Formats: sequence, structure tokens, C-alpha cells
Amino acid sequence: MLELKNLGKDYTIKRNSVFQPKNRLVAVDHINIRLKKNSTLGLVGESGCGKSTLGRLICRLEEPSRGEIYLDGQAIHNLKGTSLRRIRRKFQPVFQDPYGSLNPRLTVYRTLEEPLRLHDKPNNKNEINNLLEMVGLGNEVMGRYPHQLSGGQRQRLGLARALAVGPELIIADEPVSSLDVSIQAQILNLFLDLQERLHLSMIFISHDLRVVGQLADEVAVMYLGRIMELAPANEIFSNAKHPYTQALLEALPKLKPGRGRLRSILKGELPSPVNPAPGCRFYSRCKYAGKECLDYENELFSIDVKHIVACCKWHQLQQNRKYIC
Amino acid sequence: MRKTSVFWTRFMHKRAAVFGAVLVIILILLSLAAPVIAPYASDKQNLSQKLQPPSISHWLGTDEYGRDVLSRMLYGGRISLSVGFVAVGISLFIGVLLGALAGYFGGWVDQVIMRTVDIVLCIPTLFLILMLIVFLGPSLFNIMVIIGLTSWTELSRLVRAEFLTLKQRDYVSAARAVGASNKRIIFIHILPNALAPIFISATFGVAGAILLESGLSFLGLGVQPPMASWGNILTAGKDYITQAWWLTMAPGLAIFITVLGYNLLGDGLRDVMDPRLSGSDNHA
Repeated sequence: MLELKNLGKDYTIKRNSVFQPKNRLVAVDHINIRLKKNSTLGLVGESGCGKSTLGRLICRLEEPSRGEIYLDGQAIHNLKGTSLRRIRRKFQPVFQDPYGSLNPRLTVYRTLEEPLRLHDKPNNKNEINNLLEMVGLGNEVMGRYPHQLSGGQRQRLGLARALAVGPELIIADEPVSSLDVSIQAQILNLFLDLQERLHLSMIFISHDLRVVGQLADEVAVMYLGRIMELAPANEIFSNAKHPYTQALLEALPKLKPGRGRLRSILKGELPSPVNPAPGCRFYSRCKYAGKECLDYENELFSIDVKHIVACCKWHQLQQNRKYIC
Repeated sequence: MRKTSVFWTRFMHKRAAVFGAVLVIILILLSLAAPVIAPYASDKQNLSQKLQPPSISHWLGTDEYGRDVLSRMLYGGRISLSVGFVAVGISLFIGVLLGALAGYFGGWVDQVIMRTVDIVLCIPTLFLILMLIVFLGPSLFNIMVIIGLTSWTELSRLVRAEFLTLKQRDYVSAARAVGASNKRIIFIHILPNALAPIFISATFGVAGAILLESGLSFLGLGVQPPMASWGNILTAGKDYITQAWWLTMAPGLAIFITVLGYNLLGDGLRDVMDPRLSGSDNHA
């Protein structure tokens, strides 16, 4: 239902003088993803790897610098004005920060009434009541302001706002990472439940592999703006091919301590995405890096129909490593 | 509702702010009630009673034409305060609109608007005002409009800065994502959240406009006699300053109290509504 073709986003960094070279920050590059109806794609990566930018691109909150976005076969990357506003009801974002994502001057009622009204849907109290009920909020919150709600309630409200317009695709950017662990589980279950009931497709962005593992059918691992590995969730956990994915998995806390675990801590930090050097994006931190990696531009290799990896040495790397999560 | 009551409790704990608010309210009420409470008509001359010191029948004495100073002060207050409000209203309209457009749209819109602001700021305001008044003539309407037209620059910068931060908020993205128009985002989602600093700045603006009008009237370029304004009562009184101190004392004090009241109120509002902006103590 959603297809991304060669999607990319650059930012030009302001120069201090005209004599300095123009700096290009490549936030997202060469993204090719296909998302089936009713399925969930988990987007994983460190801070700054471009996963949120990718989410905003899909929501059309940022203009893509290149590439194409198709929703149900319809190109949405070049829509503008009214036609863009009209198609927006098909895809809705859910944000990370439940404090910043609600207008502090609008009551719950007005927050939910706005999307309904903008898309010419019935917007009476009954409809809003149904929405609140759907996300597990009581109608007593209707007249309240965001500052009178708890973090969990706010996140439910954020979800209700997204669902108000009847979307087919939800793009959730770290929707639980600012919540207490106990509430995280509730909200994740709410997502799962609603996805089933409303037949939603979902892109779930997170830095936490375990959260993604619970929800996602497929997982895409991003590094420095590119997809490093894309595979069904169980495949990622059991048969990761990319050294970066492996390192992420090894960094997960294990339930049984000390039992023959492999652990390769990633050294250093994410390199700057400004004017990226040629060669494999992961080169600077990869323990298997070799000469051939410098000529390799992270083209994707298909391991099988559903498993794609962006590492030129994947077949040489040891394959018998097992991960228990 | 709870937010409002929190605001009031915090405001009530700021003694200076409450004092300022009381001054402002008293001055507004006195001006509004001028026709009812003024003991004489503001332009009623009585040459046999000229330059009388304060007494029971003339609380603030009389001027060189025997007009009652208290009555003239009350009517002059109406003029001064309305100049303050109308001028600030005009500068709010221009400043908020241009600042909002510049901050929200950015790019060349921002460049054009902010460079215009820079140009306007380059011209010394007082001389610009003097020049405009010389061309257009000193009427009450002209004074209001000209003060308004020359005092929006700072406000537009303030509003632009607010819009630059607020447009990054997730709720603005969310509004865009549900298909809200730019107009709706500006007026429903951003502007209401930028009101606190705008309101505070407007409070100071009223004080500034009143002071400016008094200055212009003092120079004879403001509100023209026989219409009373605090500035021109002051001017008329300066010729008699050795014989009739009350002629300058009354308008001088009135201007001082008004400006003090608005500034105290503005300071207090800033502390209560926008803790980011206040330098010193924030506690109630």
C-alpha cells in the first residue's frame, strides 16, 4: 500500500560567507521500502540516523529532495495545496513527546473536533465520545486541557487525533519512549489492538529493538540515513546479517546474565551526515571493514525474497551466530 | 479554568503588579467617568478666576483662562489614554501580522519583512514623527495613527521570534498533518500560544505611546488646544511655572503615575505569564 522509491532528503547548511563551500547534510538517502496493507514496519536506528526525518517525509511534513512516495499506487510526493490536504486523511502521524504534540490552548474536545471538521466528518459530541472510547479515555476528559492529563492520557489523545480522520496508515515516531515502562506496555497494546480492529498499516519508529520486535512484521535498520538491513522481524532477531544489526542485537540486555554471549560494543559515535565520505556508511565503525568497503555505496543485496542487506561482505561474515532475545 | 486561577493567585502575590493594575484601573475609570465627575466643562473660561491655587471649589486650581484644571485633567486623560490604546492597537495589528508572516513563512517573505523593519528602525522615530506631523497636520487622529505606525517594529521582531519557536512544535506538525490551512495554523495553533509576550509588550507600549503623545503635545505638535491633553496642559503651564506650580504639577504627576502604573503592570505580567523573560526572582 505504501511504496518509497529512492527517497532522499538533504538539508543545506547555512554558510557564514559566500566563499565557504556549500555544506550538504544528507539526512535520508536511497530509501526503497514497500509496506503491505495491515502490516507494521519497524524503523530502528540510533539517534540522528534519519528515522524521524523519514517518518516526516512519509507524512509529507517535510519536502523530499528526491525520490517518490506512492500510497495505494497514487503518487503523493508531488501533491500540493488542496489535493495534498485532502489526501492527508489517509496517513497520520503520532508523535513522541505527548507534551509538545498537543496544543496547550485547546481542550480535548477541540483537539479532536478539528480533524473531523477539516475533513467534513460529523463532529458532534457523540463522534468525539466514540474516539475517546476507542483509545481508552473516558468522556469526562472532554473539557480538559492537555496540562490536566497524564502522559499516558495525552499519548492516547494524540492517537485519537490521528485516528479521527480514519487513516489507513499511521506513522508513529517513538510513541512510547517518553512514557513510564508500565504505561509503555499499555500504549503498545493499544496500538496492536487498534491496528487489528481498524485494519491499519503502521510505520513504527523506535530506537528500541525490543519494542519494535513486539509490534512489527518487518524491521528496517537504518544507519546514517540509509537502510542497512530489512527483513521480517523474527528473521532480524534470529538471522541478522549486517554487522550493524548484529551489534544492535548484542547490545540488548539479556535475561540470563553471563551465558556465553557475544558482545561487540560499537565504538565511537555516529559520523556526521554532513558531506558524507564515499564508501560504506558504516565503514568507520565496522569491525569487518576492509578495502572493498570503500568502493561500496550500500547497494542492497537480496538474501532471499524478504531479507535485504546493505553489506558487501555479508556472505563472508560468520553466519552461525545465534541471538537469544 | 484551573490555569486562570493559578494565574490570579500568582498575580495577586506580586504587590508591585497589583499596585500597577490598581493605578491603571483607577485612571481608566476616572477618564471614562470624566463627563459625570468633572466639576466643570473642560473649556469653560472664567477670566475672573484665572490662575487660582487649589481650593475647595477648584481642587487643582485654575489656569490662565480660569478653566478648572481638574476637569481639564480628566478630559485630557481620556485623550492621553485613548492615544495610548489606539496607537498600541495599530502597532499590534501591524506588528503581529508582519511578525507572524515573517516567522511562519520564513524565506524571502521573512527577508523582505525583516529588512523593512531594519530600515524603519534606522530612522530616528521622533524625527520621523515630527516630519509626518508637519506634513499631515497635528490632529488627534493623525497622532494616534502616526505613533501606531512608527512603533510596531519591536513587536514584529518579538512575534517573529515566537513564531519561529512555536512553528517547530509537534502540535503544529499535527495540525498540518490533519490538513489545517496556514491561516488556521497561524491563528488557532500558534498565535494563542504567543499571546503572553505580545500582551506584555503591548502594556509597555501603552506607557510609551502616552509618554510620546505628551512629548509631542509639549512641543506643540500633539493634540491642539483648546482640546485638553496632559501634554498641552503641561506646555501651557510651563509659562506660569513660577506663579502657578499646580499647572505643571498636575499633568506631570498624572503622566508619571500612568507610565509607572503600566510599567509595573507589564513587569508583573511578565513575571507571572512568562517566567522565561524575567531576570530576577520568579517565586511568588
